[in-house]
Amino acid sequence: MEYKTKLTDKILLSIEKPARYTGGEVNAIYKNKDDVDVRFAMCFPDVYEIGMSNLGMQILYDMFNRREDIWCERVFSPWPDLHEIMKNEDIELFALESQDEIRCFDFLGISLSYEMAYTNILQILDLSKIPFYSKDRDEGCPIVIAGGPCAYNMEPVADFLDLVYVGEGETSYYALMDLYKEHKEKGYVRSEFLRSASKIPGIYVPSLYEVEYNEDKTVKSIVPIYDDVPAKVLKQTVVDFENTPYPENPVVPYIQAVQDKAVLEIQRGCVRGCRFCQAGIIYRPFRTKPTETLKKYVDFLIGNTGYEEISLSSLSSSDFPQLGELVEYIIENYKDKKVNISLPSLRVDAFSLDVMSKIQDVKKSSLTFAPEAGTQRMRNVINKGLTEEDILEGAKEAFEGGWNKVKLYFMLGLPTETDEDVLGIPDIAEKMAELYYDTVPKEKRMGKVQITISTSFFIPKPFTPFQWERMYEPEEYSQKAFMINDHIKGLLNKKSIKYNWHDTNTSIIEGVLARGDRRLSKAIEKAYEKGCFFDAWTDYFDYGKWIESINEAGLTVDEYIYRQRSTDEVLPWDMIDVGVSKKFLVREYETALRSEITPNCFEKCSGCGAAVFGGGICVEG
Amino acid sequence: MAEGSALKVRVRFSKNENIKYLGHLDVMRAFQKCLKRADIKMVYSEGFNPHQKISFALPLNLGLTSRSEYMDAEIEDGQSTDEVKERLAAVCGPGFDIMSVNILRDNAKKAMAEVGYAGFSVITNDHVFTDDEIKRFLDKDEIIIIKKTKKNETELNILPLIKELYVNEDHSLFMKLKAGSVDNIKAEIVLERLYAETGLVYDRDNVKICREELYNEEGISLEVSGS
Repeated sequence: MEYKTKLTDKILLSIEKPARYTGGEVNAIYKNKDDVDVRFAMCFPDVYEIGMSNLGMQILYDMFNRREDIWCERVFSPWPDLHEIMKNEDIELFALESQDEIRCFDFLGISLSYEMAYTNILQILDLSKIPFYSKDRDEGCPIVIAGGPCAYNMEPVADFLDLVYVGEGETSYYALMDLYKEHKEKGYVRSEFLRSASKIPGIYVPSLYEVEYNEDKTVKSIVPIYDDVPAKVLKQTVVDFENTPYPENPVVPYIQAVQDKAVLEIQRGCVRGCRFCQAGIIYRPFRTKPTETLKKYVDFLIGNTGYEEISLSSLSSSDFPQLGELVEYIIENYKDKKVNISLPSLRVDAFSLDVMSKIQDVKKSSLTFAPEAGTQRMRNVINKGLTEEDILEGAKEAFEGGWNKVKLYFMLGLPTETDEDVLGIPDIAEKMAELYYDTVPKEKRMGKVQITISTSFFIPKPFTPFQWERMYEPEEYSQKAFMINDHIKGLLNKKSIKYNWHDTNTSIIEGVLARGDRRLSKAIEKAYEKGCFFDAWTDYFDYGKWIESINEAGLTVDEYIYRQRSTDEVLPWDMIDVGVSKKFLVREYETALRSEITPNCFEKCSGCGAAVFGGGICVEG
Repeated sequence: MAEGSALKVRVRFSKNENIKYLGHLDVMRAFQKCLKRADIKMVYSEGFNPHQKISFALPLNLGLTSRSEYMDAEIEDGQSTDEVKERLAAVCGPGFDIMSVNILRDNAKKAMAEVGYAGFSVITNDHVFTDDEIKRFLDKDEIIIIKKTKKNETELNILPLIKELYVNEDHSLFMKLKAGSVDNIKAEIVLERLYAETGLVYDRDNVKICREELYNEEGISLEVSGS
């Protein structure tokens, strides 16, 4: 295999981390372009180190490349230093493996994991010399398809996309590739291909739907322009999760990625049903893999990557039935190789503390609790099935186990929130600090207890029971944060408590984009033209330019986020069917407003609608 | 692991064209993983975060290829050097070639501490240097460069740091330069000055630099100096 670089030595030597752009990593896949029928450029629109940490990218890269007739390559956003050079010297964006220009690919697939990456889609198209708007592209352009968590409401970027893949990538992509090959063989006409693609389950073709608006600018209707185009697009779900392929040879970056570890997905979906959480709804139903299968994957992953750490990934690790057995297996078999285990999203209780004391240095590590809200009433509203007793009991056991660093995560600006709920946040921290001094005798204390509170601002997301809720204005948000900060100053243990809060302005724009409609594409285009990109990076985010762009597009922030929607309003994402019914979401919303909780899927089926997929916990119970 | 059951080895490897933009830390991390993939039984440091006992010789500048990278590693006894070489070669990934694995004597200095000189080959695509041009360059009284440190700038005559410089039969250049933690001169700086003194414009895109060898103070290759 011959490796080449599109960029010259002089350019590569003048930019930060040139290895972001040169490919050739361990397990990267190289094929002969003449031997394949379809070339797919898989793009994560952020910098290499972020994109390479995305599990979805690794899964799809592996899945596509299992087929001999497809070569899937990777492409990431050039960092601003290279971006400038490429613009000035008229260099086209290229894929890492072949270093060929994106324009000569059949598909450009864009993974949308967060709304703040939307301007980076335009950066990718711009540097690839592909027209921004789907309507302006011809037969010589790659098909631009997007997927990922944001694809459940991709309306703000719908005009930039030819196709949207709604749901889990494992089910329909092969069918789409076969259809493309068929069209290529019989004489390819772009519009004809797009129209037939709309019949593949999970494929949404924005250009084949017409959106009408009411006088008050809300959406009136979203209807297909042809009879043979489905009115609703059903989210794709892997039913046979046990046997779905998983990458055994993931690409191992040379430069340090954000996730510098092997990642094993142990389950998909979540039984909890927290009402603010989009992932908890869109990945329903809850599915797990058998422990024996996972053990085999542990062996493959560690053996083929050489990582020093393996992360057992899921939305809620504690809900994995055989977690203890799996962890024990890894410790037993890999202690000689000094492989560490990380367990994200673990609930703090006796069991998890026992597991953690085996896999990490208690003295150095900190424990994370995510109560999300400060009072029991508020936690009931968001359906976070965690009581103050649970939290303090977990903390007590942790302190007894030798931990003295604790991180607490909360959200501010939740529906129905009162000052009492806000102040409940520092109060939990204070109780925890007091508990530490009551629990741990003086001679056993390793210095002060350190409690860090972090708050983020609640952003209503589509397909959650709170999708109709309004957001607070930046000043109101800041006030809430200041209220906490002031309150901490009056606490007995103020020196043990640290408080961080998120930037309000980013939350505002994210809120607009999350529940936006198609009219926003103009605003995004304007923002990019004004120089906005890498908006997820605090250093690059420019709130002023965003507000200007939204206003120049004839829109206001108010109409998207400061307005309470009624539950019978047509929502911009109503043509997407995630299985979970709107009826259920309305019911959940009403239950929330009564501060009542709904049992999780283990306890009792709430009839959310995800049973339509015929798999996971809905079937197995 | 009891004292005495460890084996110290020195691995010589190349860093080829496609990975010449990996920094020193990246190469170290790549080998940490490579050793695990190869299932080499390593000696680990004590403590809660045990790490492999490996160390590397002089870092290579970004953009240079090399046929003379060295890693010293402590491995468990009972593994043959042939076996280690074979296993590493099978999994080291594109861009690295495992050239040799040799056992180090017990009192061998670390590769980094041994470095005295580095030899480079340079392909110059825009000019064929003649022996005369080289001679004129080397015959100068002094060639001064400005060395910038955090605090101040100092002048440095680089001529004494050039041990050898000549034109190969294939028209490429060879240079043997002082290297290590005390006196060290970059190949690119010598090259830049050679172009300038010869009245030519130096363009980084027209040269390919490869570090061919690392030597100790006595001029012996690091490949064998510790054995």
